[in-house]
Amino acid sequence: MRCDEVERRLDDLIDGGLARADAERVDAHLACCPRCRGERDALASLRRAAQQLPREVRPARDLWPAIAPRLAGTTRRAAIPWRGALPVAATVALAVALAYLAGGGGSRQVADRPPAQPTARLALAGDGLAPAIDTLGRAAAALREAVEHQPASLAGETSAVVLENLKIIDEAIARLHAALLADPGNRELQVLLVATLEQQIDVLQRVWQMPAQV
Amino acid sequence: MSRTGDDNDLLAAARAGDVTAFEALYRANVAWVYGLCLRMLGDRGRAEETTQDTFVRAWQRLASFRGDSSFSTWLYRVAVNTAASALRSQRSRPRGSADLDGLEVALRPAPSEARIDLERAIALLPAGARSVLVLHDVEGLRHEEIAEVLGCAVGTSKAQLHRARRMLKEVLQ
Repeated sequence: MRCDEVERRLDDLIDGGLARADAERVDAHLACCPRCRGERDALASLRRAAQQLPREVRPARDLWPAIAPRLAGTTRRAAIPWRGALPVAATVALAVALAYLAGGGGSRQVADRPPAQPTARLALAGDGLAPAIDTLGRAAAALREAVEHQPASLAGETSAVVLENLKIIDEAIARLHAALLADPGNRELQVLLVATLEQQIDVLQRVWQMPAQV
Repeated sequence: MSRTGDDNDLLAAARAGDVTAFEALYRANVAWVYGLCLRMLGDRGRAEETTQDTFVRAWQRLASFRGDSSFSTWLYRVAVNTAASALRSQRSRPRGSADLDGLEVALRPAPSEARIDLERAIALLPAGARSVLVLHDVEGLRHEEIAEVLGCAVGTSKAQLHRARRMLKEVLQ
């Protein structure tokens, strides 16, 4: 076996992936070729060093403050461990909204799903979404007021991300309201608005419990 | 491979939507997720982004975790896939010089010079060669697994490993 043929097989040899017959031929060459033997030893040493690198590397900064607000942006319906009692108005509005979601709104008890899937929601939504939009809108407004008046404030970076997310949602809601004014019977727009209001409520709920976490 | 964080109570709570429980899972697992991302991507900023993406994806998909494997094994797949996806998008973006300052600060215990040299040399490899070398030699994946994760042929994975090892050897000599 020539040196170039051996060189091509050295990776498989040191990884234990060479067929026995091939391995014996390579070994025979290595026994009488110092250059190829040196190459084999160098590669094997490199492989051992890489294998011994510690897998754990601590990031230079805590990444959780950037992760937490993004979790709030995802919609996972589950019991939320409240940091404390919400003001009465917000609690009532939220209870009404949740009752709607659990009952007439149907389809909202999905435990884990992507943020917004208008197509799927169209098939699931019932007729006459105006009351739902009204209920969710009031719940969102009450929650927002509660969040804006809570005594603790978010860390600067977290606050910026949350505010940016809420701003995007607000803009989407405003656009949907405007579109519905022009086309009140558009069911797809209604469903999108319900989904966006749900998302807004979800973010606000997360924000409410966030100061205890970040 | 030592991966901690398999706490059934925490997992159950996180699946039920408890962010505090998920934060505990994050803290138990972030070091190896970040280590994997940093070595695969060779850039601290992108490693941080990808680590964040990994945990957001994990949160979104917790309901699909059935417990057939340990949580850390499941999270490992999420992390590798997220890093591979970031790697694909990284190839279309300009890449600055390798940023390993954070890595050196974060290494515990203090690394030897040889280890720093090796980390730096790995970070400077071309993306394709680097990712295969990290997955094969550091993470211990087989070529078949690497090919699946990176969406390439087994032969390509082997060729990239061959290339990566020769380049490392040249750099470190």
